[in-house]
Amino acid sequence: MWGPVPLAPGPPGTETRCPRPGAPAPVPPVPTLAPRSPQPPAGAAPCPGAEQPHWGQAPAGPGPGAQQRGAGNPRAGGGERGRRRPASARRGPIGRAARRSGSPPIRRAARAPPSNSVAAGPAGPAPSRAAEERGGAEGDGRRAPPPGHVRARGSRRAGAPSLIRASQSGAAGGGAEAGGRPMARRGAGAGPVAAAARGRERRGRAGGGGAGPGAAGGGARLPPAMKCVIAGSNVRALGRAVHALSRIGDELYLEPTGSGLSLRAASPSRSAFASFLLAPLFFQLYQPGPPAAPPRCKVHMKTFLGVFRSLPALEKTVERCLLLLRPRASRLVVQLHCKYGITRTHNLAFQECERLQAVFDTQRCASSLCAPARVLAEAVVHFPQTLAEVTLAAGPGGRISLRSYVEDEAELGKAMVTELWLAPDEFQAVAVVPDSRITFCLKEFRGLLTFAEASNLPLTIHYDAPGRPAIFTLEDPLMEAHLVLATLLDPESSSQPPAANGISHAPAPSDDFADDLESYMIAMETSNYGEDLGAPPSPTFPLRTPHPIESTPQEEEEEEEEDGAVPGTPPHKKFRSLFFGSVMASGGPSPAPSQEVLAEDSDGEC
Amino acid sequence: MRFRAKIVDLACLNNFSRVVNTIARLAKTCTLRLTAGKLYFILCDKVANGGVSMWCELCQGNFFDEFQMEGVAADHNEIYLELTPENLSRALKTAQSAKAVKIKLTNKHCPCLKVSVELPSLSSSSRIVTHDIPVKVIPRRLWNDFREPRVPDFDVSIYLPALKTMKSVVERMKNLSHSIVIEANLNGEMNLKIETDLVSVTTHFKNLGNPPWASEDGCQSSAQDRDLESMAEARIDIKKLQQLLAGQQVNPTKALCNIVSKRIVHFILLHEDVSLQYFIPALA
Repeated sequence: MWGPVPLAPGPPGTETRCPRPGAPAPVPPVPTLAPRSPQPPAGAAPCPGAEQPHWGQAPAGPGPGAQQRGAGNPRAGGGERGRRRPASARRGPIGRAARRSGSPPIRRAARAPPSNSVAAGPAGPAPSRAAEERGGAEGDGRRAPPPGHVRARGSRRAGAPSLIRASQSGAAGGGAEAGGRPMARRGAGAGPVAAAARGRERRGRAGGGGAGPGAAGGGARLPPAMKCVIAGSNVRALGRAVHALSRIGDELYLEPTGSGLSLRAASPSRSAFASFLLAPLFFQLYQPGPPAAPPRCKVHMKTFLGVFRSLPALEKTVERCLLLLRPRASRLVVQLHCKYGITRTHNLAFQECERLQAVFDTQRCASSLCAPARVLAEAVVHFPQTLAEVTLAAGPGGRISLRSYVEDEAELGKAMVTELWLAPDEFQAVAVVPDSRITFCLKEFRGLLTFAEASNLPLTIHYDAPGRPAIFTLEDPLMEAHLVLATLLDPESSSQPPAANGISHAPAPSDDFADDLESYMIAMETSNYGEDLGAPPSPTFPLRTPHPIESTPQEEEEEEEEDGAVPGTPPHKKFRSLFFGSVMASGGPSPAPSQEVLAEDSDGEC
Repeated sequence: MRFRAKIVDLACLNNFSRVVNTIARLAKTCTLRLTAGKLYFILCDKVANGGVSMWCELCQGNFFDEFQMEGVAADHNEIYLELTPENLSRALKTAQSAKAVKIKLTNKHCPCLKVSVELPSLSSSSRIVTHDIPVKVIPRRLWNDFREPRVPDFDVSIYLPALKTMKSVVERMKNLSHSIVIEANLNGEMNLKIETDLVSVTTHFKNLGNPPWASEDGCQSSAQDRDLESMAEARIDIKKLQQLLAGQQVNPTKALCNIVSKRIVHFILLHEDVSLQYFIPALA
């Protein structure tokens, strides 16, 4: 059974809550604004149509309906502004209106008379005024879009259902985050900025009250939540990392932290998890954003991969890469500065999300191997591309073997079996339990190997009993990478205790409200979460979380990778079948009897 | 029944893997016939395959440094195995820099052709990769199904133009039609034609030459008194032809084709140490 890396965030549809605390606050009208709004409703009026695109982008929880909306919406900016600028224009007014009224923005917007300058679109539900304000404050309208700039359509619309949650989070988060730079600004200064934006839009019509402060705010321009500049060959490394991650899952999780930018992905079945932590040194400039409320987002792997699709081209033409996270605009901006002064800007829509985290601990692994990536890459090349899994085993004399794993006895007569022996002296370090063996997926491993080989780094494999995750690590002063792969609970080898590692989706820390949300999520997410639930959720998660505690939201913040709880989704089909096969097998010497496989056993002996 | 062989020479190894590659492109499964002096890859014409058959023959001496085999019986010193050439081709693909490749017939869990590749490594000992390719041993009573096909009593026999040229022509034609007409005469002319409702395309080749067939077996009897200019033609599946042409990684020293009007096209590709015959039946 594939256990270990179970879970990550629920499927997209389920993700209702808006993790990011301050973001969507439909609620709070800012008091300060009221006085300031010189041209209020009027201003508000123009925008209804315009905003929508905006809303979509607003960080509010992703609503189901959101996407379509975004797509359908013509993005019209204020007439004068030109299309690029629209953000501020759109947002400003609405935010205003909403603020003032204090009533749900949605209604407001709908009522507002359409302005000529703005293309009228269907008014969307406004998830949060706050979000809009922020957007306005950010003043992205002012940003001159570079030529060739690609605009991704906002995918995140707040759907009705998500609204509630979003609002909660917004309200709670607002308070919590007050200390954070942008947030603080938002609360206090949003009004003025928005006003300024509006003023600009109107060209000189700005109200006296608003103009001054607004201008000031605009000038200051809120910093993006994250800003990184990557130079030269590191861009390629980033590209390769993205390629490696793209083998894992369909979504890429980005999280700027104090220790570096973390890029993560998990497979839909939660059987694989990978994280790349790019240290601040990796960057020419690294500004992770407010430490109190690190922005977390996920983007579609495909869109992100599209930016780095061609590695050779990346190498040839790109001199610098700029990554900006603009939560207010709901945009992850990737700018590639190429030769001859060409700049490619990709504005990617992102979703806020909880933290994606796998629970694993290399220290607990009984065996480890370290070899130059090249050795392993040359070894793996002998296996057919179509082969799904390999078994790694420690043989006599310290030799390590890799062997194709054939699922089914019936297949044995048909499938080619490849086996390869590596002498211990090809490794840099070998510390393995004699006769130990694990079976894992080759595809993800190949992805990491490609990365490691290109970076010329040694790869360390940590593994334990079958059924427990195997962890592949790369370390370098500039970056570290972890790949956690489920291993097959092998019938042949006596059953083992369930794996200790898994992926957990940690909620955003720091929000007070997180608790309820968390519990809600957990409840939804299921049964396998944990120790407490005796009920076996799905057979697919053999893993148990090592530390029961970890599941509590509060703590998550602290642990990097170590803790986590695992809610999970059933593995996709293939895995499942494997899994069943293995389930039948075992009973074993392990402290935890085989049945645990079915349910996660939380108190880990491990 | 026993079989073991070893290739040490790199050139031989590359050659052998090229042959296997070609076979892998032509047939999903085929029969490997081993005799003391030769190896044969055989595909016989089952209707399910579209009636295509193939006969590829190589001298073991040209490839193997060691070659030992022991058939079922002394008087039938042969082995017939059914295998997936793709597997063999894959196993050899990563053996390009091998120090040695051994091929052995084993019967562990099931009958397998075990390919062991000894690769150079960074360490003192070399790295060994083994591939167990499952095979089916074909019982003696079925051997008769795998006889060498007779050269048909063709109407026209003609040398083929450079296969690359032919390949690029056929590949383009393939986009337009499912079938292609091959016609040739004894005057060294060959045409490749497609005809659809919308378009007809013909490529003419000239001065190709006609191989002299000794009349020993009388197989060219019908060609004997044929008008030099009159074309013999057969309409065949264009995909099959394209497959054959695409599978050729080296231009053969001689390539010719025999056409039996409206019945079958027989290709013969001769390399120094390999000969490949390929039969494509005509479409109705």
